[in-house]
Amino acid sequence: MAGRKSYLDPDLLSRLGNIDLVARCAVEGFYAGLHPSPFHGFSVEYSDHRAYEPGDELRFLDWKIFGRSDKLYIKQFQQETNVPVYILLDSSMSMAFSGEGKLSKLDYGSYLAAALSYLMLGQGDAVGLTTFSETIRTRVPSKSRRTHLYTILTALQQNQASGKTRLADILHTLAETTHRRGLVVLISDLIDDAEDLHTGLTHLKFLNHDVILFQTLDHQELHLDYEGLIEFIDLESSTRIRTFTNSLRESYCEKVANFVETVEKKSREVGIDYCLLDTSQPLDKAFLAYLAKRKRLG
Amino acid sequence: MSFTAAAFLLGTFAVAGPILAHLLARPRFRRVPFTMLHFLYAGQAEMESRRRLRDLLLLLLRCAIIVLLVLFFAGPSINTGKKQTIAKASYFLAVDNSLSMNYREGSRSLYQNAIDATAEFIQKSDEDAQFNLYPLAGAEPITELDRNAALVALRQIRTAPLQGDLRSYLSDLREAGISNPDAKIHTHIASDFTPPILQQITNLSEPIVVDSFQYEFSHPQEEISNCTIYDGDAKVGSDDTIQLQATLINDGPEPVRRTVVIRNLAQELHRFEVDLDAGEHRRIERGISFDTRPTSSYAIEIAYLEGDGLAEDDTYCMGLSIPKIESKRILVAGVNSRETFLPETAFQTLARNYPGEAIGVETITANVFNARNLQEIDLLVLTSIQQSIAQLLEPLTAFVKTGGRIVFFVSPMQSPACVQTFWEAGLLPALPQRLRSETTHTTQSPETSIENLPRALDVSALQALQNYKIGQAVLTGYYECEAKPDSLALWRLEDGPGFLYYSSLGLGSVLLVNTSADDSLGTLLKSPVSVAFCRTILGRQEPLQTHIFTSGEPIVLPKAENMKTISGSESGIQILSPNGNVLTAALTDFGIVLPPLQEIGWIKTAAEPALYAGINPPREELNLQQPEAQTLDASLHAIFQKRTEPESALQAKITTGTKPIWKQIGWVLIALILTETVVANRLKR
Repeated sequence: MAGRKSYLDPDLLSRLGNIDLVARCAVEGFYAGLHPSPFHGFSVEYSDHRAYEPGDELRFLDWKIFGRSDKLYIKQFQQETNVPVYILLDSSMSMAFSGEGKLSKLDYGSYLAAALSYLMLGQGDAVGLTTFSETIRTRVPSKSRRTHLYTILTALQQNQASGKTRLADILHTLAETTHRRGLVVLISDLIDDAEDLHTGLTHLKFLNHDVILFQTLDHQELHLDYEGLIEFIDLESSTRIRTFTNSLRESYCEKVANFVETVEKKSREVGIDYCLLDTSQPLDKAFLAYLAKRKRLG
Repeated sequence: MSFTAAAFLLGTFAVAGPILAHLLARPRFRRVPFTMLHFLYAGQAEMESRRRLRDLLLLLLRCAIIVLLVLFFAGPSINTGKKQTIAKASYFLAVDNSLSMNYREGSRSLYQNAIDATAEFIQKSDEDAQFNLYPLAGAEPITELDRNAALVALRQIRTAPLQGDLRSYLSDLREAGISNPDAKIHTHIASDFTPPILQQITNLSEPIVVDSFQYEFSHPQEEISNCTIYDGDAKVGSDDTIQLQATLINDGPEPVRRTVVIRNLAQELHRFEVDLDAGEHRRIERGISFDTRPTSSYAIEIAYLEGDGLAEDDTYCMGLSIPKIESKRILVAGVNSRETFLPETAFQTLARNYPGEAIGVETITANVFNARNLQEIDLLVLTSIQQSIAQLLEPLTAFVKTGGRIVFFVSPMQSPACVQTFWEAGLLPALPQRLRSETTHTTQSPETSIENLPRALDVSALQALQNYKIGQAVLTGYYECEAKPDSLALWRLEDGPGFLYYSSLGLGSVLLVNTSADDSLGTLLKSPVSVAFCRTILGRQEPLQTHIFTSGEPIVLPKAENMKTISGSESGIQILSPNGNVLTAALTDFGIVLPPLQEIGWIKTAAEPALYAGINPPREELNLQQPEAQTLDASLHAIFQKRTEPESALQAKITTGTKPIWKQIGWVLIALILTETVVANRLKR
């Protein structure tokens, strides 16, 4: 049990308990929750009045207005419902990279997935988890039971990095197989063709999913702080390159910055929230900063 | 190209070292798993090509450094490919035109002989040679002349009343041999080789290599017949006369009788006969009475009446400024002899040191001191202020106002009432108020700057006090004093009160010495500083001044108090030179400053009062001692050595026309080493 919960940093989770994650889009759901729903129904939050029509339930009649004006009006309420959350965790071999030998990107992404799951399930949302590399490797369906957390944690625990990244195919597959609109949380280093990635994300957005994109990158990937003569070996393709990093650092950092900027720009164009996470930064700080931003966006 | 040490060329094989290192060396790469390799590819390709280029450049640089190093040690020379032109022969001709060369034997002087010999040498020399003429006294060298120009220039050289100087000639000669080793250098010296000239040659530490050396020894054919007068001086005699002194020398081998006359310009003052043995130096002294007017300037000549070989040293010129000579009478008055002993002794020492000032010192006890004693004295020293002299207030005040001077010493036994009386009458420059029986010292230097001192005080004496470290004298006891507003604290004690107060009163002045004249001042008055101290309190006495200069040295004459330039200008003053030229001298704070003159005789200031100064020949030039011919020849040939290089070798050097290039290679080598450092450092990045 302790191992399963290791992804849920108690300190982090205690802080998350005071933050409400509010989805921007209203989705339909089966359970009442904090998320605004387009379906007016059982809720405590008043929405509007309309004229009574035969067949309406009499318990929603506003008797006070009837007493004053002798007219029949039905009270309408904005229903707060749950939202299905699809967490997509990239588990390709590149996610196993840990530049300084501490926390790999996959570990970092797993922490993030666990934290989100805890939060969503606490709000009554249904949370599902999909791990993938070239293909979908594990798929935990969305459920809103509290005990579902352990299923997700077990899947995260057993997850191992392997294979190459084919992110575009995975996103298309997910879009085609997910019928209910919900919140898609993609956790990946996004080391793939930028155009393919953009196509996949656009597909999800086209289906009215609300997408949050966490790009997790190692500090070394961002800054290339190695010194001296280095032979780099690609984790996914095993190709090698010999170089003197001091000479390349400037151009490398410039290219990475351009890549990150491109991804962020294209994500915004299609209405996707983007957040760059540096694995050298504490997970909680990055996550909390994002949640605060998400809340401000409404 | 030829090499001095060709064996070093084998070192070229060392080039294999860096080449092998370049081919075999493999850089060690650290293996690191990574992800974003596609971002590294573009930069890596560019970097790799640059690295290879730098590697290659570094290899070439290192190989070049090794090759150049080998060449550097091998001593390369390149053939210029054409025969060098043979440089012109250079003749370095020294002509001694110093004063001693004016010695005449019959109708010809040694200098004329030297000129003729030099001219003959020039005429026999190469027609297209280059001539450099070096007059040894006063004139600048005349260089790079052709033969005719050299002959003309030679005849224009005149003798100067200066000492011969060979330094410039020898220096240029040595430099010519170094800077142009292929040129033929011929030398010729025409001189009488008196000791100063010969010494300059024999003092050379290294010989000078020349192609030929000749010299003309200008010396009289017969024995020298010459008498000299030099080293004149004057001092005030004890009998109101001026004692004139001079040294008479007989340079000849026979005893002579000469008549010596002492003149003030044309006015003969004294004449006497003197017998001088061969080689004798005799100091003579004659007392001459002069008019004792206020300071006067005289042009005194001490001269032989008969002529001899060298006329210039027969007259000695001496300018004299004779002050008005007045006796000084000092009366030291005190309670007892114990109190007056030290001041009296100190003033007597001063009197002995300056006999010309006729200083007389007497002592008297205060209880018998009366107004009549003041009539015949110039300075009254009161070692303590006693009640017995209180009734002399009026005569003492009158004494000071008419030009006298009183020096008061404070004393523990002094009468406060009398002190107060004197203070109120303005006779004391400061009021001694409270006795402090403590050991103290004076400060190291005067309180008042020298420039601000009254004229009645002797500035040089105050400076002398400072030099004697008066501050180290231990004084026991002093008074806290209140100074008069117009008085000067010339010197102070360490604790603040003045040690020596001065104030003027009428035509005279009063001084207060703030310590007792017996034990306290004992250490001061028993020491050598006593003379300067007594001189300070006695006052200024214009000294007798002589104005004697040597030709070739700067001339500084004292400036009279009211001296103004003849044109009214404050910056310059006109001087008449011995040759009758009118020169402008600078009128400075130090005096009248004139640049060195190459003349002997009298100079006179054109402004009033006229001041005379004598310019005499340099003393070294008056030594006409001639060296032995054989000794001279050996000495000269030891210094001027003939070139020993065979003619064939010189010819070979000229025809091959090789030029060493190791310097150029050295510079390139340094540049390459620096470049290699920069490139190697860049490669690391």
